[in-house]
Amino acid sequence: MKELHELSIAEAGAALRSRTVSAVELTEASLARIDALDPTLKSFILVTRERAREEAKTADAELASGIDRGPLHGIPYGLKDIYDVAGIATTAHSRVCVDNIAAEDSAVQSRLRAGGAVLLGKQATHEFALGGPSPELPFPIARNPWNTEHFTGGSSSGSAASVAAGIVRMSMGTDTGGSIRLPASYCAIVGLKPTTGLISRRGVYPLSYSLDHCGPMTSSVSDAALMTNVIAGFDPRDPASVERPAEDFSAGLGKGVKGLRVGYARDVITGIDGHSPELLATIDKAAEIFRSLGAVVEDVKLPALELFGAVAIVVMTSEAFTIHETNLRRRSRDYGKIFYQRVIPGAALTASDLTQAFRLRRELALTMEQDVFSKFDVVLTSAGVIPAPKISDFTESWPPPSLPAAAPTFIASATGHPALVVPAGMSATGLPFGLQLVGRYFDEAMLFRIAAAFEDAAGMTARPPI
Amino acid sequence: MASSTNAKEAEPISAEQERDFDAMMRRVGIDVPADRRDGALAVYRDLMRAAALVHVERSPAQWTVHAYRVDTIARAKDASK
Repeated sequence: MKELHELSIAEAGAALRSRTVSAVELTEASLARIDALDPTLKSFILVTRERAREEAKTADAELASGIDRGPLHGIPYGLKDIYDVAGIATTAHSRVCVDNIAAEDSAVQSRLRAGGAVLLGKQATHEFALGGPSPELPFPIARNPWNTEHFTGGSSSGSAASVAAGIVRMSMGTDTGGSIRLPASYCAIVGLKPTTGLISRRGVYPLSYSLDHCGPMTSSVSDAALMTNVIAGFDPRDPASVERPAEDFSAGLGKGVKGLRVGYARDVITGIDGHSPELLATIDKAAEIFRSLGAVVEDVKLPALELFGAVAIVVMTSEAFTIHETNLRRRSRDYGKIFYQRVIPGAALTASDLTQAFRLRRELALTMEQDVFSKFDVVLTSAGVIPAPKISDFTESWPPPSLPAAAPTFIASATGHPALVVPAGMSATGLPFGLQLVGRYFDEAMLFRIAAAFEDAAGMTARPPI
Repeated sequence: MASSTNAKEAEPISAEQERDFDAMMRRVGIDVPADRRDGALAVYRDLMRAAALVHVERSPAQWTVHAYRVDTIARAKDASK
């Protein structure tokens, strides 16, 4: 018999509808795990305890009276603290915003609330979703449940830690250069960076409005698909939002991968200095598993990773500097050292640099569409290339000298393609590795289908030692 | 933004890059605190390398990118009514 925190969204939903468990019980179980685990993990920076209890009571009352708001009704969740919730501070984990009370809900929060989900609180991040793990910020650093001396990955650090620890089964992260996918990989959870335009970013503190994405972080692939069903949709107030017919993202689950074509971008991993041979062996094994399930797996050559990385770095730094310029000039000491160091050089970029980066982004995206996704249903690679480093590897000054120079996450960051991370294996030291699947635009359903097949066949079932 | 994506074996920062960085910050009127200069300088070095990578000569016909989309303005106006 599973404990409450081990139930998937679908299992918890079935239990809620059969009245074998209540939303209040699910919520109290999550609050109890926060009390037991979060003094160590530091995944939440604000727990909205009484509000959660009220929302859970409402969810139960609605179900009892025949009002069913869908698959997330009565399910507790957390929000990375750059999502606005009306009446609550959006701190972005920064001294700059400690008193920044949101006037209205972010688009995602509106959808989750309308879907009957129960907000537990706001979760740790890096300063403005960029800074890096730093003890000088006003809130503590989230810890990796697999080994609390190690980094969760970032910047959706608290969101990943809380899901991995079974405090919640779903959280919202954001991903500009890999901030959902790296923590998902380091913490052994599922994380989706959707296609640009699928999920509204309205009401989310921007880091780089041309590259920012909102996405789900969950315990399983099916949970991520169910969550996407609720949070995806057109928003006329997000200029990047794309109007599309409603879609069931879980429709392909269970259909397997027989005959599907997987392009294995192994070169992306081996081309990064300092990549872990254990990680490479894990992704090699994943490729073999896809073959054994009937997929056609072939090596694929992508444009040079450094080009995707250059686009991401130039656009992100330029836009982040622009967003923060006034405060960086007036309140420089309110920013942590790492954020300041990573953003202030954006002042040196020229209009030509940014325009060239946008031009190259479009060319890379077209190359992926025309040359890669005409031959393959998905691209297989990794998200990170090493196991989660120690928090102590992050030095006070940027960059930390012992860590690799690039990340495979930059591919989909630059082009806006959807990318999903699913747990794939463990290092000898007991730290997780995730695989990354990159798909065609708006083909999240295919990513979920393929990831679910892998999860069923070989996915990790181990839980963190907490 | 991903955090573990930093330089492994960083190239040394040249005296010229250092002078360029200091001159650029002076030009835009930013006084980088001394305790933050080394990290900012290292990021500047990597950023200038990235900026060089995105510069490729293209014909005028290839510049129709990142176009201004008036439909996104109209729909936002309608949504806020």
